[in-house]
Amino acid sequence: MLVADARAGGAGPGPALPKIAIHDVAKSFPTPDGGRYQALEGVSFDVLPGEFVSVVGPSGCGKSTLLRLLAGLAAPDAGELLLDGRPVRGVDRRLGFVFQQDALLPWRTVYENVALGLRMRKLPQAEVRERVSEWLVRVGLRGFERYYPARLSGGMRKRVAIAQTLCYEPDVILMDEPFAHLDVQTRYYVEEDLMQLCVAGQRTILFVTHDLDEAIGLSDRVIVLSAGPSSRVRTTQRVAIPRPRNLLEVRADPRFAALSRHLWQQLFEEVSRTYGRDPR
Amino acid sequence: MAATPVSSALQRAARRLRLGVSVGRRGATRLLLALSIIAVWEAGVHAGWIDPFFFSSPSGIAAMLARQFGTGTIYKHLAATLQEALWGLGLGFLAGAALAWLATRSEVIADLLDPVLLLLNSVPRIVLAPIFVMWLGIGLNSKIAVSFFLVFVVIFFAVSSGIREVDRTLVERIVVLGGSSRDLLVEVYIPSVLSWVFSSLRVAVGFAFTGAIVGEFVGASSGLGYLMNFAQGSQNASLMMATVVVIMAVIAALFAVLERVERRLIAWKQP
Repeated sequence: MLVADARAGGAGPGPALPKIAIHDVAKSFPTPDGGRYQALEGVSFDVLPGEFVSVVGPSGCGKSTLLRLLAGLAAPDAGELLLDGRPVRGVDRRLGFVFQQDALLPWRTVYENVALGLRMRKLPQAEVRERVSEWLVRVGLRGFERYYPARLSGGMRKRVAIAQTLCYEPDVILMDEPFAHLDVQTRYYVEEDLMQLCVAGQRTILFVTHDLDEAIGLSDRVIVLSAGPSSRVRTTQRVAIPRPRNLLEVRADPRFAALSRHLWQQLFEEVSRTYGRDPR
Repeated sequence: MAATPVSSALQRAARRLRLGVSVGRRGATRLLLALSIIAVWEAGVHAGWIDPFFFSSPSGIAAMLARQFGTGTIYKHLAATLQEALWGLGLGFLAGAALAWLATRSEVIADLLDPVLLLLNSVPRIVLAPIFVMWLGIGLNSKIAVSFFLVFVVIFFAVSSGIREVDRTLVERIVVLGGSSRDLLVEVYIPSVLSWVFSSLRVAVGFAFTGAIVGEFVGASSGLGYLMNFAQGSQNASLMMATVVVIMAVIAALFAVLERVERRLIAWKQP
């Protein structure tokens, strides 16, 4: 098994060593009425180095929980999560996490917020300045360096948060519905950037989204989680559309349409189960 | 429409202008009101409707102020009260912040402190003034102690709310970015606590002076509170009123400084 090989790890990392390995993971939360909600149960999948994998599923299926476990912000009840073959213990600096909320420091300017991760990594001032400016241009926020987050729109704050994570070039990037609040044009540019990063370097991306088309367009693989409680992997589907892809043209590809139809069917069944269980 | 940007710019300019005028007008109205009260007061004294023995007169107060500052006698009292209030404020601030920090670090300390502080917060702490004068004598120390106790409780609650109400997502954000505990302190906790502290600093400054002056009422040989007590004993309404004017001026000046500092420190709140 891949996981076993990774842990034995004697001969050094081979090409097939997964960057992220999730093995039989379970996680539950206490509910207000004193019970427990089993969010995830028996979830297993791997992500290879440089791979872009999306996780989709009905709301409440534990997608965000999975990312929090990988980021070391919470511990699983059972199972194992491995980064480069080593179990996740606390926060790993090679990891970047784009939160669902923008989570910017309100008392820091746009520039200072973007520079945070770089400064914590003790990069030289000049390089910090260079990288921050470069990323502010990429997310279309040049000229807003001295603004405080309170003066920005929701979409602009989101872009600051994305720049903040991507500018320190983490090995593994976890993204929790990062583009939900972006306007279509900005979204397109940031998505293109993200794909370039992934193709060019060793970036491994695990991407949680509601948007199936976004998932297919960006990913090498799409994983559908079943409806909660006790979500597990329902389907894993490889996106066999070669890169580089053009995000605008990829939707016209017949493979895209077939895949979209297939995954929609799966997702739709899960969403129906969610509503069947909880007809609100 | 092509005219829109121009007309909206004009409107903005007009609004700004009118705002300026209205602020100016409001200021003028206030000044006018104050001046007319002073004029009526002064005229009332001259006409014999107001007894200057009890109420003094604006000119009497002005003359008293001129004399106090001219001979320099007021400085000794002003210095005593300022020392007491500022020491009380400083020490109360440090102790309140330190204890609040300890209480959020340790459950045991929190369990010990919470009932004591809730009790202290619910009673008028100024009633402690005679006790401190009895214990510490009529010198500066007893007033510093009263002032300290008034301030310390306010700061304790401000700092502990600041620490407790810290935004969890911001803490997680710093942790995920790879921040150390020092980064957490500097980037999240201190700014969060500061904004709470600033919202209660004005109350704390007021309390610091209340403590010092009431302490002086109880027993002192110098200070503005002592001066008021002396004025009361010698039935000197002008001295009494002049002292009140000095106290108000000192506190107003401190508030003005605070406001400037606050505006700089929490510029990020302005949308």
